[in-house]
Amino acid sequence: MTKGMRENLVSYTFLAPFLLVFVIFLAYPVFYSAWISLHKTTIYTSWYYPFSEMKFAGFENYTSLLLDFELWWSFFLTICYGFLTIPTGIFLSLLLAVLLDNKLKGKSFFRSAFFLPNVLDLFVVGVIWILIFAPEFGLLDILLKKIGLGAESGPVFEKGLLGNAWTCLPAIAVAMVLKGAGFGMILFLTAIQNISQSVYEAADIDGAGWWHKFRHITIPLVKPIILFMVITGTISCLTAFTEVYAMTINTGGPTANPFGHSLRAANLLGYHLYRNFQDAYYGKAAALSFIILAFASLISWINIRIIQPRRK
Amino acid sequence: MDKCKRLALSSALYLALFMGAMIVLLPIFWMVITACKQPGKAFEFKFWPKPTVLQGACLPLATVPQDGSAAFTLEYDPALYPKMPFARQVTAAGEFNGWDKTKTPLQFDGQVWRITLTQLKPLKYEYKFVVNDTNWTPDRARDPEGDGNSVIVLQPGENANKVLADQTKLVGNRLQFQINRPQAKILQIRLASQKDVIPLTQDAKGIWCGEAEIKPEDKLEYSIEQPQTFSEAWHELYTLNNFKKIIAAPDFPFGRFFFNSLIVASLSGLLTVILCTMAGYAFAKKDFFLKGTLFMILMSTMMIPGMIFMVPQYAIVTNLDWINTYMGMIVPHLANIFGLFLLRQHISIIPHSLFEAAIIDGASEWQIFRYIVIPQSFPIMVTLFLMTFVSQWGNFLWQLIVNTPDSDCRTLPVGLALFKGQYAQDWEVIMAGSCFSILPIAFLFLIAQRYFIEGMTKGAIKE
Amino acid sequence: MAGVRFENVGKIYYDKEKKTEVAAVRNFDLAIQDKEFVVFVGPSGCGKTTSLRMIAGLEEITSGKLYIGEQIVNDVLPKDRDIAMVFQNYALYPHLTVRENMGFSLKLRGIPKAEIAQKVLHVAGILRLNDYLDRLPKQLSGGQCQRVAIGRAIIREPRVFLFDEPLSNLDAKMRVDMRVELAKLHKQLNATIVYVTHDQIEAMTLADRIVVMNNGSIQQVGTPLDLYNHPTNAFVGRFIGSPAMNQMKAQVVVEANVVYLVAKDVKIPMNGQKANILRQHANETVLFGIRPHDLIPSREPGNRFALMRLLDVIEPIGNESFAYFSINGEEEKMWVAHCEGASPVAEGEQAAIVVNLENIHVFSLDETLLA
Ligand SMILES: Nc1ncnc2c1ncn2[C@@H]1O[C@H](COP(=O)(O)OP(=O)(O)OP(=O)(O)O)[C@@H](O)[C@H]1O
Ligand SMILES: [Mg+2]
Repeated sequence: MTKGMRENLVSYTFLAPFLLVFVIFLAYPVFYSAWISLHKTTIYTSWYYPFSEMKFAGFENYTSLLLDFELWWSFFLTICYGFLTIPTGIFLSLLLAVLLDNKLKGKSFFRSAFFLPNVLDLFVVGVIWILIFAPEFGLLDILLKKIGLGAESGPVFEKGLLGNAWTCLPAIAVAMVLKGAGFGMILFLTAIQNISQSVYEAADIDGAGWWHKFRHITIPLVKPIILFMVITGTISCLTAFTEVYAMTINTGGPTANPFGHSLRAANLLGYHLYRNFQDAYYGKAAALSFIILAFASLISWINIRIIQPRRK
Repeated sequence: MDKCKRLALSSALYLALFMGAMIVLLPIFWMVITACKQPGKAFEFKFWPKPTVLQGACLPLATVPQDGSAAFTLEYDPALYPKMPFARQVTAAGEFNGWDKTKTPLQFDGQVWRITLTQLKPLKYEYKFVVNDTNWTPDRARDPEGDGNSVIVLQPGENANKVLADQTKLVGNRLQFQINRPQAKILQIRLASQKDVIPLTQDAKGIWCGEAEIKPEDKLEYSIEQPQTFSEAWHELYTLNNFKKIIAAPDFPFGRFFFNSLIVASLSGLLTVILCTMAGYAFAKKDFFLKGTLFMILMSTMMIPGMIFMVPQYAIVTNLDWINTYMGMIVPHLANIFGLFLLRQHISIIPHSLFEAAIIDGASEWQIFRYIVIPQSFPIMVTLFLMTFVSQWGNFLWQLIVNTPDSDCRTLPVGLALFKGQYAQDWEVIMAGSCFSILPIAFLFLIAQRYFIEGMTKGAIKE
Repeated sequence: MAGVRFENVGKIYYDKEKKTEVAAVRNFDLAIQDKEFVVFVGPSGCGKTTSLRMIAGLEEITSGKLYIGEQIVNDVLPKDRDIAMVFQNYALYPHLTVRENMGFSLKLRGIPKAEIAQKVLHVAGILRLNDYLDRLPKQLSGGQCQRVAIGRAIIREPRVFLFDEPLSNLDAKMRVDMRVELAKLHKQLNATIVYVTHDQIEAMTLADRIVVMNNGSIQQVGTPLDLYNHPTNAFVGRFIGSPAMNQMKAQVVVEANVVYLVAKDVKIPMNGQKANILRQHANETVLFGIRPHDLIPSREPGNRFALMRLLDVIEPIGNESFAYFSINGEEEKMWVAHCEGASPVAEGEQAAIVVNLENIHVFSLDETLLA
């Protein structure tokens, strides 16, 4: 046996378990998904063996989804959600990183405190936020009343922030930004600390002010992190499900009436997909996941184009 | 001057950071505090017990029967009915209302459902509770083992059970009380129909006594200010019973859920680490057929939203008969591309000569893996383990999907979601449940945060 | 113990980026005797490491045959070749203590713990490492690390030791000390050693035989003195010896039956055997070389042949001096002359540079030795 063959054999032995799981549970599903997305469930489809009795439907799932106003509403909401969470998240984490970059006593305490929410279960955190946002008795309402907002009696926010079509999505966004800020903070902090101190010293000698240094040294050097956060943020917005499920108690939020359609105000794409799945529209759910993939690739591509223009 | 300015600046900074940290951690504090509160106190804006508390209450007491008829208070305490569904509505049906379940609704006071029946003839009555309009159940407070109807036998002119007063008696049209609260400072009792306070006297044993003339359809109001020790006041606000309730709840085996979560998360973590380290080693240090292509394919799947895999993974798990098993929850997520990338990055930094030294020293491939790769990449393996542990601990969606509602393998988040559905208003209990799911992770984070932070930054700052 | 024999060995790398083949080693023929200390020298990239790694089995042999002892080992796995190797960067296992590092190979072989411990102590004694046995590599100095690496090699008592530039990461002083130690160790172990270096002092002081390589092929094999005195080609001449041999192109001219080497205004007469050989190459251009030690600056040449030149720079080392002067007035082509003690002629002065005509080496333009 030649050395090359031996090496191949050994390598693939080490790879085998990973590849096995990969092929069965990641690669194959992509194709399976494509297949399912061309099929429909029938009345014979049972919960336990849903895929035995599916009927070929061509591109019907795709067309019906794309022609349905609900999808575009979800898409619109998702984009809103993205604009609510991604820039604020980046801003907040950059702010925290810059603040914590000082020679501060107890820095590590703050670092842990801000990072901690990140590792916590999204679902449970969502439920806790329901409690905080609850009308009348929720912590938010009480605090606002303490500082003299709202009427003497009754809730400050009618039906609570989560019960109102206009504020439901922003409320979810606030909760998620607060939860996620620590992650970005750590990324930025690492990047900023990697910037050589001498670069800043050189700028000091040139007489650059705080803002100037931030704008012309820090920002360009943390740009890759920003790009990373935008791309991962985009993907997590497009697939956002748990937060909606938890904070709207699996309803998709209060009813909104865009253009005369009665739709849910927090029905993000990911949650929309879940609803289809839950209602046993497996074909539609699969088709929707491909539509989401298309959106994701498109938006990632645009992001990369905007943030990292071609080097000439 | 300059020093002053700097001092002011840094204290402002500290203040801002502290406030920020509080806001970010708010959900956790809120959760823990709420979980420890007494039932019904979740929404009270009260966090620190005051030793002296005014206990104000207005309690409808039995209207005193004029004609020698009796009054009786029925109580439905949910704690006595662990197997019953969560009570949204409780009514009583019995011989006193012709077994009509709509006629006699009970009121919920945050702890017990209650109604006082008045104007009853001194007779024997059979009755049952009707919960949520459908479930008929006997009164466990009176006959705990009973399956049939519960029974009360009423004597004329006497309340068969106590509400406020330790002893309330009707003599003619005068109501006599005895209240056994020697510590209470001011004790005011009056009838709703009268302005005047009923004068009370305290006897030698410290029992308050009083009596008043009473009209039909009247109500008794009382307010007591009772000096409390700090510990009494504390216990009035806080309790650990919510946790006990969860651990003890028979149809929500939280111990089981917790154990399942632990198993799923740690097995996932362990296996993911093993798989990723092996594959990462191959990609970092070996040269094999299709290496570049394979790596490209693997990396590009990282861009695909996880949702896309959900439906077919569910299909595969169904076909493999892995619904309601640990396998179904663990195996589909073992091929962690991010983890593979992390390990590959790390292992490729290990100097090549180390491997060659081991080869010359006579190590087999497996021994190289065991004695060089694993010790050298151990910290990053710990990181990956922790990250997988945390994400699988909270992988609510998938665990919800692969478990039917009656599964034995339900994990904590799934169980909690179910629990939430049933105890919809019992926020204290729900929060206590959440504590079980959140606190282990928070604790894990605090003791191992170095590993968490290292791993997450390593993964992100790749190029 | 055993010898190593290369039979027309070649190694071709495939460069993946450029999609070209790189011949790292060509037509390698060499027989290393049992217990011999052989040193491979050559400029960077000449294939020394590659040859060594082929002996170790870390690199596949593209063509030819390699024997260790009497066995062809082309397809034998490294662990079955019974060789030990010491790496340039030590390659100690960072997570193991010195003791564990040295005992690692024995542990892999399943040798009982007690025996390993005893052997480690023995080897540590030889290398004076007893005080460091429980330290981690990062707590050791470079020299100590290298001793551990050597200890790891000798504990196995292999048939052949391979060293790849083991001293090049050490500072100058340490290098000299370790060199002496290695020489002692070779006597003590009585083992076959193949040693790669690009430091010719190391090569000259340690080797029984030196293999000079260039561009993947062997230029010359011989004892250190052999190589110094009788280089078989111009490259070896240049490479061995410090400072390097002075070399220059010249015309062979025969005038009145005397053979001269002529380059512009330099005209050197040849005599004896060399003249006879060169006579057949009359009017050809050749390359000739002369070592600094055969050029001696003096005030008076006496009756010896001398070149009259201005000394540009003089480097006094103490017991000897090197004098630099330009030959043929070309600035870039400085020659070096050597004299014991201080130079008799000062910088910037005219000196008579006596040429030891016996030791002139003449090569053809393709660098092979003529005379
Ligand atoms: N893995 C490889 N792939 C392609 N070419 C290689 C590889 N390893 C070495 N080479 C090439 O083979 C030639 C010989 O390399 P080698 O490492 O043997 O040189 P060396 O004599 O040890 O040099 P140095 O003194 O710098 O260590 C070089 O030209 C080098 O570029
Ligand atoms: Mg080399």
